[in-house]
Amino acid sequence: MQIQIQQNGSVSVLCMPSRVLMADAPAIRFRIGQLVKEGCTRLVLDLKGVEMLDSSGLSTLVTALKTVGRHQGRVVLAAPTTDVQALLEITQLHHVFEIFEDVGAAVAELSDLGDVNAAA
Amino acid sequence: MDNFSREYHLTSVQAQVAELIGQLAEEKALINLGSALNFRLVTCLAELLNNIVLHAHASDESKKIVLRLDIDARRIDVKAWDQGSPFELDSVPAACDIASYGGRGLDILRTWSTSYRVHSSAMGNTHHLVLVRMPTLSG
Repeated sequence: MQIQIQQNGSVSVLCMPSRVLMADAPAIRFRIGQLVKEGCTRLVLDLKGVEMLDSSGLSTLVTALKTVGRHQGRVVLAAPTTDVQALLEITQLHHVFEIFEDVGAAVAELSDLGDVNAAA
Repeated sequence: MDNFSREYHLTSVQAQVAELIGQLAEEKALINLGSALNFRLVTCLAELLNNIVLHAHASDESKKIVLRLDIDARRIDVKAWDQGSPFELDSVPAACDIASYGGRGLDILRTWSTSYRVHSSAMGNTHHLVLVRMPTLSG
């Protein structure tokens, strides 16, 4: 499985694959772990292309949040489909994650974080 | 709308389960359910099979699963048979921490299905999942 990464300055955008099921979770977790080790601690998880998502897939999102959090970073979700948004809501994960309608807004939010920190 | 009935035989290999879920998501009869119901059904099927693989079969890849799917105009009927040990569905608690790593599968099944029951015997467990289709207005 190829997980595309787009770099926007200090913000990394992970284009999540169309299928995020139990069988796919280990590879996704590994890739996110690699990114954190490489120092990428501002992550946007782009959900635009996600068509299949189960509870194991959701746990990869939570793992990303907690792993990055331990490195004083931030993870946000972007562009979930209506169906994926519904799943996030019934599992209450919309209270756990910041969710942006599009990747641009998510990137802007995490980019501003760097500017604020630099100014302080 | 044509009724749809199919039975699938698989082993408890995660990759095989994922492949079947992918095939079902593209099955015309399921696509014809509409995006929202298709997604709910596919997610419920994934959770059902995941639970069987991980819990009923304790990831024993040699154990077999039979999945039967019946769709008509009014309801979606899912039955699955596993070779796992008996268990009491009602004794499995709901996930209590929304930020936990896991434990959401059964809650998803309970929320998105009209009913989910398990009958256990010494031979294994029979899972029965029903999703009632919303009536459509005609005329």
